[in-house]
Amino acid sequence: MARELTLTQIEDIFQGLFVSILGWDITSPSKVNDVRISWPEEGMPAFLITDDVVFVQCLEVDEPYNRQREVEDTWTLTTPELFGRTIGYTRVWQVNAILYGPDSYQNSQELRDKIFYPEHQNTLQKNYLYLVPDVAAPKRVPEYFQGRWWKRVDMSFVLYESVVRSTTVPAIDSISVTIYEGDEGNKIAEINNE
Amino acid sequence: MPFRLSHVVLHTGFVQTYTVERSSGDWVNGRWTEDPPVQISVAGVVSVAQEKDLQPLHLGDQIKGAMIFHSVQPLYVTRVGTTQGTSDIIIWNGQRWRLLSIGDYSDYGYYKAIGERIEGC
Repeated sequence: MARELTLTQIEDIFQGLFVSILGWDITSPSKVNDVRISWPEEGMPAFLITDDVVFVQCLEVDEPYNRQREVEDTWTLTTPELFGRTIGYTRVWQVNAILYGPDSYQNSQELRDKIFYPEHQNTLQKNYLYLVPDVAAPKRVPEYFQGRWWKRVDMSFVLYESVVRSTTVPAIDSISVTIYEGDEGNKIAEINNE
Repeated sequence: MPFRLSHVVLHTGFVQTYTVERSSGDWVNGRWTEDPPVQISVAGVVSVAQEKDLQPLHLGDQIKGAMIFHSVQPLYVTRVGTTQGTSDIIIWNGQRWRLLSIGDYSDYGYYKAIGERIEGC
């Protein structure tokens, strides 16, 4: 039973989660796409200073628990020729939320508080993601662009993901043994065990 | 009324034809998803903004460069609002150039755009 989120999957999970926390899926469906995934290959249209927009960035981070990961190795014969091998460990994610817009600060407070609500924790846990509850305070970092200060707030969440990877390892199906006398002697026996 | 320079942009001694790829699209769950681009044939003067420079990098030899495209038709960089889209891409001389800046000289009958080479190598 392998489980490992791809980058696209974790981005999609947090896009939907932030939309749900902010209530935009219910109160203003037109804003569902105002939680946006950063770094599209070909770029994306911008937004206006009056738009409340959130950008999601997912990055794996290095921390002691991630580095000294515990490897669980179990063996199960799946077919006569192959063994199944599963390796489990914890991967650590940092999910950045970059908020712009007139309500960016208020929206950051919503994200910070409501991510702890059981329904949102359930969403994470269904995907084997576990929030580290020590959430740092959002940082207000207004951005000067084209003669105006754009409201901006940055915040991050750290999550542990329980990863299980499955691989297969070829089993030894048969062996053949040949016995020689001395270092370069005559062959004295041959055993084929299939 | 300002003097019109569109006849210079379209002068038979200078004019070239190039293709503009104009993209629009939609947002799908927070991801910008482009529709197949519309191709528009445009005539105008093409000149060099930045000569091709070789950049020997750890990931291989890469080439940077930029061209200037003149047009009597409007060209676009990123657009917001009801006709959202990313910057026009110009296909000229078998290579693709993403528009980074537009000079709106429409009062004089033309537009000037700078496109960055996006082939990479």
